Amino acid sequence: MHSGQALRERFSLALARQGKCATEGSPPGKCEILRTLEKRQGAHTVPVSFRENDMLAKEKATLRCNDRVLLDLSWWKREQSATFNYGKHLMSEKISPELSVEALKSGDRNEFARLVDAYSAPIYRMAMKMLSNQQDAEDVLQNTFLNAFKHIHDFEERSSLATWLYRIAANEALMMIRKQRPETTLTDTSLEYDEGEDYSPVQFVDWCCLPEDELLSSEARSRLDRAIQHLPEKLRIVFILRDLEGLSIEETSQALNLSQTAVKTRLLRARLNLREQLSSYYGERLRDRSKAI
Amino acid sequence: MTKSAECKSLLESLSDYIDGTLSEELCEEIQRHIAECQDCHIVVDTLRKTVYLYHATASEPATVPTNVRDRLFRSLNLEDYLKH
Repeated sequence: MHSGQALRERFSLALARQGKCATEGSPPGKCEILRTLEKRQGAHTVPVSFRENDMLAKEKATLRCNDRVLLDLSWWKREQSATFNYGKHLMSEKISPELSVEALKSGDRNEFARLVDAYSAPIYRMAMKMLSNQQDAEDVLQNTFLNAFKHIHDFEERSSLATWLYRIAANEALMMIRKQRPETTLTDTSLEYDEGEDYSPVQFVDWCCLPEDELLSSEARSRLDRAIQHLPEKLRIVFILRDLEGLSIEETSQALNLSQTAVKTRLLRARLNLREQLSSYYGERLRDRSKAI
Repeated sequence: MTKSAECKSLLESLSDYIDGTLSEELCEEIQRHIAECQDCHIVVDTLRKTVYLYHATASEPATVPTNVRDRLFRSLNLEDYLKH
């Protein structure tokens, strides 16, 4: 089931793409779909059922990727059109084929093959982001499904199947990092996470004005990837699940067996850490541009 | 509250603020603060941009290389379900 949280991310993203968030105010904290302006065909249909008191609680709607909708953002800006983008939460069970837990538990191989096909790509991507090594990521992928096969009877459906798989994969990835730890700790202690560490910002360069093609150039993309690798692993896994894989705070807490407060704290620290790293990189790009002018 | 204490207190709410999950009241408090504090204004804008950039790169579809998928299906004894 799609949560209001997941939906909110899509709208934030769509608005940010229009360049509004960075300069004109804060992102939508409360908004409501006023009407659909334009419907596109050929993408996933995403039935949206909003919960009571959630951000978009008043309407029930069915939207497709790239539908343009009109939002009421009265506290921020009277009305704003936005593009509904639902491409990120690839582990969503609505997008993937419906799978029968009963069939999986009864040992139905065909159903298991469908499970592997539906979820192997996001699990592999998560492992690649976490470990930055193809062989290690492949090992995590295989171990995740081997363990899922072995322990499907223990799956109590308290979380979604997707979250359960992420949980197995996250454990596998963290175990792999710990096994490799003796080699890394000798040279690099920065990957240890210290709860008490001060994460106050030290870089105050405003690089938001850099053009999009520079912010997302191939060099910048590899810098974004490298920055993730410099996060302590306990922050890295939270950031990957929440911001890259699009899990909600609740799903991330289930996947990592952490409280939601701990997830929020680690997510904030991860984001602040990445901001510092990117500020160094983009600040440099900004200086290069001023020299060239 | 001193200015630096205000900055520090704002920092704790930043994720919720940029995710749009903060209460309206606290949002207004943050907006009032960043209107007067240039450093915090930059931190908010660049933090939001940081998250946006990662969201933008993550929205590209995930794929598994064919040889990795083949080995995965074989390791699970599911090779009879392999189709390309």
